[in-house]
Amino acid sequence: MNVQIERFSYDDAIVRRFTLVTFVWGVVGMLVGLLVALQLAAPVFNFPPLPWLTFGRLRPLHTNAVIFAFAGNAVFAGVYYSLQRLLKTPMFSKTLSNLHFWGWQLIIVAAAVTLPLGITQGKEYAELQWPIDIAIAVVWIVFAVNFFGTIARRRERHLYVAIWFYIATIVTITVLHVFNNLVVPAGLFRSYPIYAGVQDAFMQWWYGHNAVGFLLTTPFLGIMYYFMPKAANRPVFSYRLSIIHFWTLVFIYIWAGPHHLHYTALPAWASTLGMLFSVMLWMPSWGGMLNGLLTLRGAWHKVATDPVLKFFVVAVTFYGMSTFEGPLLSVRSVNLLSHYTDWTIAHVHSGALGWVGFLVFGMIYWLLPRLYQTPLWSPKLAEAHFWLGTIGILLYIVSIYAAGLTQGLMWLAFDEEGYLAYADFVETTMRLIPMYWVRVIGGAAYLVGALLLGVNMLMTWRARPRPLAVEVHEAPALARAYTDRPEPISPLVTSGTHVANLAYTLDRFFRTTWHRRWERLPLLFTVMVAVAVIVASLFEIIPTFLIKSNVPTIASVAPYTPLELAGRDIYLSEGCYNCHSQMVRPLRAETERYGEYSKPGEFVYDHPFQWGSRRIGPDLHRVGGKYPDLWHVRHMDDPRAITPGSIMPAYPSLLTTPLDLESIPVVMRAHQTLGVPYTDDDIVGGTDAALAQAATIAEAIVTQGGPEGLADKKIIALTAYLQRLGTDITRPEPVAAEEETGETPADAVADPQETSGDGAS
Amino acid sequence: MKLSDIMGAAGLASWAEIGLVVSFITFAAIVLYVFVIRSRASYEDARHLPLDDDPEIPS
Ligand code: HEC
Repeated sequence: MNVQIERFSYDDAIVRRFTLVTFVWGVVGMLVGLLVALQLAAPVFNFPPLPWLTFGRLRPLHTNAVIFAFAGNAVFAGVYYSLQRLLKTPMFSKTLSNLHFWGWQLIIVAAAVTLPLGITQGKEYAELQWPIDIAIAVVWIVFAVNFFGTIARRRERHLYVAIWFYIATIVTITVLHVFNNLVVPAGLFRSYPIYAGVQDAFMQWWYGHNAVGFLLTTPFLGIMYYFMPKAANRPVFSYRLSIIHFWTLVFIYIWAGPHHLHYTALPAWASTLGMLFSVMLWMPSWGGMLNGLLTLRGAWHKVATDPVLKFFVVAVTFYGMSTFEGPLLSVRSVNLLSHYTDWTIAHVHSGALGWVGFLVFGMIYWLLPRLYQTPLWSPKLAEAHFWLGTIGILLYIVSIYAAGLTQGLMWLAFDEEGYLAYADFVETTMRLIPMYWVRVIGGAAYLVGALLLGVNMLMTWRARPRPLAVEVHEAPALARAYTDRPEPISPLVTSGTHVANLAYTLDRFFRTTWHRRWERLPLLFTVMVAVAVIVASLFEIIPTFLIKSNVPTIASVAPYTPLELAGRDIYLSEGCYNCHSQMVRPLRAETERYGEYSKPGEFVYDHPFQWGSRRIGPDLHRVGGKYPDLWHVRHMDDPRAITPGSIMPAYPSLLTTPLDLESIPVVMRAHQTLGVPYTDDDIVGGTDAALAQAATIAEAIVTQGGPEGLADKKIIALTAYLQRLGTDITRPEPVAAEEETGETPADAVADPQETSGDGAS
Repeated sequence: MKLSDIMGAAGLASWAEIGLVVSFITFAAIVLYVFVIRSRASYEDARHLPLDDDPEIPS
């Protein structure tokens, strides 16, 4: 048999580019992060009266930049470098690589422009508007074609486990992105998800949870399983453990999504299931961490001198810590305390700064000498980066864990007479300010560390040989007919023991090479992963979508008026959900503070849901009717004039910007398409109805002693929306509606026992 | 909503449990296969793949 040796070289130019933008966008994302951290410590950094730089608009920019721009580009750099080498072939198509690169950067620029302008879908980590979402899907497909094309042309038959992780990432992110972003557009800059309320929440956190799993975990595990053995110059400790690690994420991780919604209005079985799986995730995640650390056994002396290994060791340790903490947070009694507090933010940042950030830095320091064919300019500076970064992480997470615990405990505290110990919300806010300043310092240290990486990058780049050499590699082509090495003959046969025939059959079954062949078939493998992911998602989601009893209707809940709908758009656009929840949990501490707990049936017209995930300000679900209209006008204009110590941004521009009346019928039409019962007459008369309601509110404001001439301003619509919030259940039931929907009164009223789960316990 | 009536009557509530059990069994089967049935030695080649590169580094 003649084996043909082929010569080829890898495309490292694309890796260099992705590495550079990883650094650039990383710095941008961290800078915005630093700014939003400052805004919480001192609200003047919202720069009123400018509307573009408020916390509600910049926080999505921060999260999107670090997730999709920093982590995203880092993943691409790592994949493009390791895939070519693991498969001994250049990428499938240079054109596709370039399309992928430039397409992704354009998307990031589009995000950086639209988010400060308040163009958003209003769902966390899925804020980007539908045209950008389509672009993301297209570029992702380009990446996938390039990726699988490369696999098809490989010269190494076995797919190393890192590639499995990459495949899971590509498959799962596609599914998540498509299903969570199914929307009905109302113009280029507006859209509404096809799901409402509870269902939208379910989709959103199925997405949010798995985006963390499959964009911030699996690809980085692939990177870990490739770059860590490279840096230590040792094979991974246990390949078998890495395989189990992989299947755990694919089979079990997906199921654990609903834990993000504990104590909210979800059916109890769903969150119990999520909790069970989260706890099951514990062991293999730690297995993964140990697998990483034990890869270094015998190489620990190198850790002392090699900054790359230092970054990796800390990264993997943080992986273990956050994957331990994640399931912990899904335990109900812990979640009761941690949910809506900074605890979540601390958890996320130990994962983001520690695991993802440090792994990326380690990878870049390892790559630089190889990409630029010259030694790293200054290992000392890299060492300094490591220490600054570590101190930064510690300052950040220690202060923010403390903040989360402090506020969580204060919210739940009762005094001896049985009243809330801190009935005034802002008391709990003011207690956090010193910790917020510590976070600013920690974040700044981390950022300065990252800038040192930039210096090292620049200087290493300048010292590169010109032109860069293009190495030529050699490997035999993949033979078409491939036979496995024969498995050893069964001891059952050689020893001559007499056993039942079944034993021989079983023995042969297990010894044959079917599974090994199967592992080499990328298509089949990919389909397997896709099936596992989709099946888990469907089983988890379908029941909530289709079973009526899960969301009992409440007859008195009616669609928003046209003006309220316009106000809701402003609420979305300003990103109020970044600071305010709309979900009163069935706990005494919450019903005392906010009022009647929220029922699933109250959200049936909420496209998208606005339950929120963090209460930097108080819950707003029952704020309707709590204050006079004028209060809201004054409060939005200058929160600190009304509530001293508030850290809410001032929105004076809402009092001067005219309300967009033209879009009202368009928005109503989109909602009608989604199943909100607006009649055609309602839509035609939408603008007039809005004007009439606005006039009434503007009049009331003047009567209460407020300014004149607000009737056509944004603030009126926002006030209308805020005053409507949570008032439907106290409204008398409309008698006529009952016949129309054919509901019996028993159906119509939510059974609190059924819908709230075991919340009261 | 007619669809929800149909699906509601179809007893889909148990799907979640079935899916859970199926996933769990598959997962357990994989663990069994990887750790018990297949020998560690058969993974040695794959384990060394990342290091099976050309010698390199200027440092
Ligand atoms: C940086 C976080 C932040 C953002 C963004 C924010 N708020 Fe607030 N909000 C707060 C804080 C903190 C309080 C409590 C102190 C106070 O009353 O000002 C508050 C209080 C409120 C209250 C009074 C609630 C009550 O029960 O007393 C309302 C109403 C409100 N915010 C509406 C909004 C709206 C509408 C938006 C978006 C345009 C918004 N907030 C954006 C932080 C924020």
